[in-house]
Amino acid sequence: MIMETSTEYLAKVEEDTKKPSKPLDAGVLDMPQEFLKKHWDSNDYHKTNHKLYSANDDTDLIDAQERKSSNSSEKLYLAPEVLKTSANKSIFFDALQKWEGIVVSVNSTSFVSRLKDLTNKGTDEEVILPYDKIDAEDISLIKPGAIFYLAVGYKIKNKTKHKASLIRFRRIVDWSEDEVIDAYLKGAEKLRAVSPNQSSKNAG
Amino acid sequence: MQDSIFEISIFGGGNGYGESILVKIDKEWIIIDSFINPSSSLPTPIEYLKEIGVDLSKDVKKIICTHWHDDHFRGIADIFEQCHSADFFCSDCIDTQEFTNLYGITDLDPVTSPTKEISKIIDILKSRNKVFHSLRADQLLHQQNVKSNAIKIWALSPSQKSINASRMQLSKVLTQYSDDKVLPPSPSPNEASVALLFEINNFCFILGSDLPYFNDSDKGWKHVIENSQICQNKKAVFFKVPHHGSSTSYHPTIWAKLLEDNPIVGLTSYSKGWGVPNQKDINNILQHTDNAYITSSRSDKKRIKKRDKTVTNMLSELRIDITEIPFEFGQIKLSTNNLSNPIFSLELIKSAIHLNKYF
Amino acid sequence: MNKKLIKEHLLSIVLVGDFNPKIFQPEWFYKIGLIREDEASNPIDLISHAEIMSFNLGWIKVEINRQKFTVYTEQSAYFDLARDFTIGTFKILKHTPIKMLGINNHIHVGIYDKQSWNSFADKVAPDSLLKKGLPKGELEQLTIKEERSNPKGYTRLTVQPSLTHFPGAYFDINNHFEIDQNSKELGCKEIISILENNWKETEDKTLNILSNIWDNK
Repeated sequence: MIMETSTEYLAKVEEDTKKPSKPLDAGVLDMPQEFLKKHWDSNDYHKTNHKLYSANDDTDLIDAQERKSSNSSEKLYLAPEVLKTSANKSIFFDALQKWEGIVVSVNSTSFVSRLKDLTNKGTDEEVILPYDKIDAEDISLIKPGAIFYLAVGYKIKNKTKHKASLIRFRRIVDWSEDEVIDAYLKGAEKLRAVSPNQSSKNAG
Repeated sequence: MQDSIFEISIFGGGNGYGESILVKIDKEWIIIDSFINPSSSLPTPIEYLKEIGVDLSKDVKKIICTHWHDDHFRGIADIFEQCHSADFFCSDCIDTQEFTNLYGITDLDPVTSPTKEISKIIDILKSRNKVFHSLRADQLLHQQNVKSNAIKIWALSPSQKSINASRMQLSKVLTQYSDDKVLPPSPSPNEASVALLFEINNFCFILGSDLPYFNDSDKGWKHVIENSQICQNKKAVFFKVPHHGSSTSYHPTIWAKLLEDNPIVGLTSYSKGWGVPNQKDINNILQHTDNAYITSSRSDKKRIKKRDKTVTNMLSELRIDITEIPFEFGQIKLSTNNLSNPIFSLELIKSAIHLNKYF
Repeated sequence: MNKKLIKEHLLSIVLVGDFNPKIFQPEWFYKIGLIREDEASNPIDLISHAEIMSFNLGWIKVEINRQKFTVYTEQSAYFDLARDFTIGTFKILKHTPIKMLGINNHIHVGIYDKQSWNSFADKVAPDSLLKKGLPKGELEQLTIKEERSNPKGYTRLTVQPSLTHFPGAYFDINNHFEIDQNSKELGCKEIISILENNWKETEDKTLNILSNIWDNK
């Protein structure tokens, strides 16, 4: 299936915005339910599970593609459904908590890391992770000083979700000799501009 | 209320968060090293000084970075940015071609780079049309008279040999970085760190940074004891113990030659990992003085950070055992109202305790 | 702000310059070490053409045409990785001429009851302003733009009702950066430095914008 490209999508947006105003002239600050009733097929409206929008929302997700406008031949572009995934939806990871980790030490079966909490800031944490939790292709990246991202949350596939963790190492490209020399020269130049003269070592 | 004429405070966060020292002379402040408070994400010196009503833009006159271990200079660039009247000082080892090499590489890799702070400092210096001041052994940073009291600040290190040794180590980092594609563990810059001596009339304070003791008269503490012109016939009443009291920075001759009997000493802890000070380190210190204090108590207990219960339960089910590295902020503060005939008042604030209560 | 109210958060990193789409094969990204071998071997929805390259790795989607290089993901766990991927690509292709960068957040936030909806709407567009000229008028969309001088660019915030999450609001936060037109810098080093150095600030700004509106409603 050929995905609609962003260029084509943008062209459609432009085209649509030139057309006479549509459902939104009903008044977007109306009660949402009223708004829904005007634009949805009445059957769709009654199927909507309003419990989804409670503050303690951890119920099953509804795929955004299931929502339709009342006129199925027209699409509403103003709030972009830009990134429609393909029909064979890949796994979606819904993170509840994220960390950035740095490997402190390694041994034969596991490695110790210091974690920085990316979700809530605050104090650092420590974790010992066994290699069996790491994707085989990332094992070679485990070294003291290596950075990785850890997250826990829900893995969602085909509308079912289960608890999962995600560990993925940061990948850095190789430096070429030219790049190293460039960096050296840049660093040297920058430092020279603010270095003291040899004759004025004693500061008063 | 700022009523003391002289004040020195050692701040520590424990567990690798870092340490910092603030010195007040009359109405002016000197900031030595920095670390970040993880709760506020602000540099601790800034938080403290603002709390006590110091005007950062006017009253801070010197910022000294003793060495480039990241538990000593996280946030120092932010401090420098706010302290418009301050001069910036650092170890002379930064003025080497090899350091600029490291700087250049880590500029491309900013996520955890310790030299990103240096990069920002250089930009600030440039914008202010200023230079940084590099420090080496027996160098005078500062002298002034405060109400007829003579005050001098000296650098006791790094020695020339230490600067040369750091230079060689830094050049090795270049090779290691290219091969391994990760930021290597920092080569120890402790040898090139700046130890300071504050001379006020007849009394001295020594701030030991992380300077090690080597069995070599040309570097570390042995160089200070045997070759420093500054320390001849001077003994300190206060000592900031280097490197968390670890054995690498301890030698009885430091205490015999550089310090008064029963001096007041302060140190910071690093409980995680290799854990310093250990019992032996503490015994080494306590045999020389009763007046030893540490900024944070030892934290052996495994603590789980408080967070959303769903996440905590999830971590448990996924068997990911994450423990908190506690931030244990403590301050050891020594102050006096009288420089001519000083009587020092000691305060232990927040987590700071006497060293004999550490274990 | 209760982060559970965020129903959808799409991040896109957009670079504007001159690109040759054909070279950005998944296999190439694997060869330079930026993605895993199994990802390169099994990209989803691959389009490979002289004018456009597009594929989905599961954790990010990549689309390149002659003028734009776009990386996007709806999965917040991969936001930093999307940044790393972009930076890594143009560390290798450092001579690619790139003049503009967009770090864009498209966020649908749920509002869970009528009272919250009304107070949010009143906060964003107070009735008192509307009633003066258009007593029956109601806000369709609000856009605010803040210019930036260093680095050059702006942040533009657009707020409107969400059409995919009811009841809810849609926030489009476009952080636009560009290098000086007179800059003699060749290649993309400057723009990639901007991406590296402004990432954290952009992230904080996005959360700040949402929190300021949400927590003060």
